[in-house]
Amino acid sequence: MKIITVDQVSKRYRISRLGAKSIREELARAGHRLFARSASREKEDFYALRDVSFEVERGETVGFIGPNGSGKSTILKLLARIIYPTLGKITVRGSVASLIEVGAGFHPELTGRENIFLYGSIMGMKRSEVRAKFDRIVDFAELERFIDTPVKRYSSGMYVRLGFAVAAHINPHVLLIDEVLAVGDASFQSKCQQRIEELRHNGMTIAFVSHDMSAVERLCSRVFFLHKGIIQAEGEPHQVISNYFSSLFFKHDVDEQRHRVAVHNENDREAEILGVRFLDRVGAKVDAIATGQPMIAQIEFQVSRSIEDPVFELFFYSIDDRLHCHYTTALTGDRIQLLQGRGIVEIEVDELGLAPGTFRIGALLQRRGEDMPCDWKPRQYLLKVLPGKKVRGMFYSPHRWRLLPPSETPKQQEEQNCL
Amino acid sequence: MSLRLVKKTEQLAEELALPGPEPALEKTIEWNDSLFAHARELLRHRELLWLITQREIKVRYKQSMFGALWAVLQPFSLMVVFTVFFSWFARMQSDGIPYPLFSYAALLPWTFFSTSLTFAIPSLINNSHIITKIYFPREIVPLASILAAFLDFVIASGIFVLMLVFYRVTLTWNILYVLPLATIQIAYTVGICLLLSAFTVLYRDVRHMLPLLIQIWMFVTPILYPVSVVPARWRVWYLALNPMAVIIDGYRRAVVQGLPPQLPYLALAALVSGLVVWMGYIYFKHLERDFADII
Ligand SMILES: Nc1ncnc2c1ncn2[C@@H]1O[C@H](COP(=O)(O)OP(=O)(O)OP(=O)(O)O)[C@@H](O)[C@H]1O
Ligand SMILES: [Mg+2]
Repeated sequence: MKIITVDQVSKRYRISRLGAKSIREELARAGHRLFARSASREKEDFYALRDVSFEVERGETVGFIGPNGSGKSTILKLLARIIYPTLGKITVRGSVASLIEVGAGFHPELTGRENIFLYGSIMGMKRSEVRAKFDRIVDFAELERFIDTPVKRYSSGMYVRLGFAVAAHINPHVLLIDEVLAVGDASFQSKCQQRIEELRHNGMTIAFVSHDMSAVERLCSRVFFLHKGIIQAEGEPHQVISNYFSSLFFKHDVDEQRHRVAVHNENDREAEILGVRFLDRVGAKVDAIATGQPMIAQIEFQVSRSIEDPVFELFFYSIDDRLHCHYTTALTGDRIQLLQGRGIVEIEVDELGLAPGTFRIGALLQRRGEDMPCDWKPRQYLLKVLPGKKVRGMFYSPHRWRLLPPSETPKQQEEQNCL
Repeated sequence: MSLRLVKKTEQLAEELALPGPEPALEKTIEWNDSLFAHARELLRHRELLWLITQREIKVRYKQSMFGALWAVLQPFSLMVVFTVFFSWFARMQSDGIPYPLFSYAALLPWTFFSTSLTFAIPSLINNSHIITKIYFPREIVPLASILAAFLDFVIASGIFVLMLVFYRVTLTWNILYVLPLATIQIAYTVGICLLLSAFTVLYRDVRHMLPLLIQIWMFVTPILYPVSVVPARWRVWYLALNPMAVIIDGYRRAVVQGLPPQLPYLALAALVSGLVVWMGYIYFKHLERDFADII
């Protein structure tokens, strides 16, 4: 059953209409407009969303990602009926609770307790219903001591705690969460994510905006990638997120690369990395490899002058930009010499140790002992690691278990066990 | 182990208390629905209206020394000042009624009106932090200000009852006119506040104009003086154009003088009030959809 239907929705803002005006300004503008041609009005228009359509099934958790100002909050505000679409139609069948940016709509002068009742009432709950859930809300927010303090004296983290606790306990049909969890501390963030999982499993529909891609990937069943008010991609979280990252970092990396190359100009592009690809056991090119499976990575390069004793390096960055793994021939490879022309180096890993997730791959080629690389592709390539060998924790490493036979067990220890 | 798990899930389900597998999801109302639908939506939120009114009162009197006493103090102190300056010094006539009684009978409903305007008109702007974060029928915000002012009015009426006893006013059945008078006044106040509070979101000028507007309005309403001082040839326009004049005069006649209000003018005032509240609501609902964008 479709709980949310968004049909060809656009949201337009007039640049000159930003905020309230005084009547005098308005008259001046009206006078100005009399003489200006209508084309200038078009120029004033700005579309925060342009012809957006999608549907959400009951019980789905959808994520919205995209750069700043791409319209994510605008979508949630439209769903929450806080703002109204310029064009198109939005239908939400059921009650909506929203946690839009920091501050759920609390009144600063009132205490936490009063605000909980106020918020519940805004959500259409009876006083008695709120009272029944009150303790659980306070408990979840861990704000027992401050519940009778006016919320204007709360820290921003406390504010968010209260907001999330209320929104997550009043059982709306649709819960909208915009970027708020980032303010809470680590323990509260994980608590919130756990709560979201619980709500998901119990069939609540959730729309989630965040810049924390690992949270989006973990929590959402479907992700929308917005750019300049248009849905660029929609679908399975991993795919959409890599799509987003390649669009986001491509520009960034090209800049970085140009900078590096410029610095290294006297070398006159003596070498270039052309690409990195991944192969499976039988040598077929793949985008995804499961944890614990063999991996072959190939770096293709071109050398314009022969290079004596080069070093190749391969970097694996997680989507939150942490370096998870690094291979270098400086450590393990033998001394080689590159002749002019194209070539490929290959690295073979028997059992891939990375945990499931998406990784961005960097590759580097330099002379041994030199600081400046001949070429450096910071995070250009992508590899998805699928769930394979079961990993809990950060990584998998090849291993064997063995139960020692009694003959190998020391006598002394046996005695201790008996005691 | 598994037993505990079962219990936990059960407890969870109870804790969540989500609607059943196929819940009756009500479709929320649209912005362009009829006024009737909006009014019904408002009625559904009456508990919220009450809560926001409480909040308004609490916030207004928080950190103030006299608290709710201000509700009485405002009309009462004005009454004292008016009596000293207009009755003793300026010898203002008052249709033979003791001047304190004469002026308080008018100041009481007038304070209700002016307090409503003062608080309701900027109320949307003052509550922008909730308006941009959460949905509810926005008219609740100005209505709560009016309701809070109405409670002040009720409290301040207590003094008036004491004054009636003190001056040995004999009440007649005409006092029952107070009910239609109050109804018309509330409708008129609500209409004006809806119109102007929405307008204030668009143009902040209203906020600066408001004190001046209220002051002028007070002087064109028979509070300091009786209607009889208005020259006869202007009196028709005086009463026809300003419903507040008819209403204030009506209270005085019905309670203090034991006379019915001037009924033809009252009928006109009722008509105007009805029109104002109807148009005000339409205008408000029309602008409401843009509030969060421009506030
Ligand atoms: N009331 C408004 N008036 C004019 N423009 C607005 C208004 N609200 C939002 N915008 C514009 O709409 C665009 C989309 O804003 P939105 O808040 O949806 O971005 P976002 O995707 O949530 O960004 P972020 O990641 O920074 O939260 C922005 O360019 C913003 O300037
Ligand atoms: Mg945002």
